[in-house]
Amino acid sequence: MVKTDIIKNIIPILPSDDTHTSNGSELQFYGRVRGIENGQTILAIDYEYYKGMAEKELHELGESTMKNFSISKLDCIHRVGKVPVGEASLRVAIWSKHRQEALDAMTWFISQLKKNVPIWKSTIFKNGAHVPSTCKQC
Amino acid sequence: MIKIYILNFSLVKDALNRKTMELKMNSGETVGCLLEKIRKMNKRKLQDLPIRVAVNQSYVDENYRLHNKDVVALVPPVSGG
Repeated sequence: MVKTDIIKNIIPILPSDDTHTSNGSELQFYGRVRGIENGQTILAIDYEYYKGMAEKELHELGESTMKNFSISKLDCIHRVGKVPVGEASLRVAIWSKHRQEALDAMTWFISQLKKNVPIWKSTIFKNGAHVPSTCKQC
Repeated sequence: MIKIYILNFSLVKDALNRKTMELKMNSGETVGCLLEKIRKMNKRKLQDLPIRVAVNQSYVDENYRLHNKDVVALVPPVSGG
């Protein structure tokens, strides 16, 4: 089962789910906005996205991850718009029988998301400047 | 002639200073032809920028032949997460 969404509000914390009785592993990842970018203090990151295609690509990526890895469920929310320092821009949860499948799937899913889903960061610095991100490790 | 609708994002939007534009092209022209035209609009900022192209919300390669009323997104390197 794949559930994906792109939202403009704060990403809610996902409560641990005790109903997955056949899965021994529940892995949750939160990507948060760092306060320092290239050595400079920042206020927030503004996420621009291609509405329609970003949702489609994110969901297709979830489906591909389900096909490529032995996992039971994937749930992902990406936040767009202005995300202040410390808040989450990304939440991914994966359930699987054993931990290794979920860990591998998580790494692959996030790396593919950063290559293909049409979402772009723009850093908002303390002086008010908006600078499109060119960070290759982000 | 065909008319296409172009959506610019992030670094492409900054380089062209607009979010959307319309362009007339010859029938049968490809995405590769379109990218050549786009890069000439701001050589300094676009010449070396990798740009992927999505037509009607799906990625296509440079050989894709554009059709009348296609919605074409110019996609610089993405940076979600």
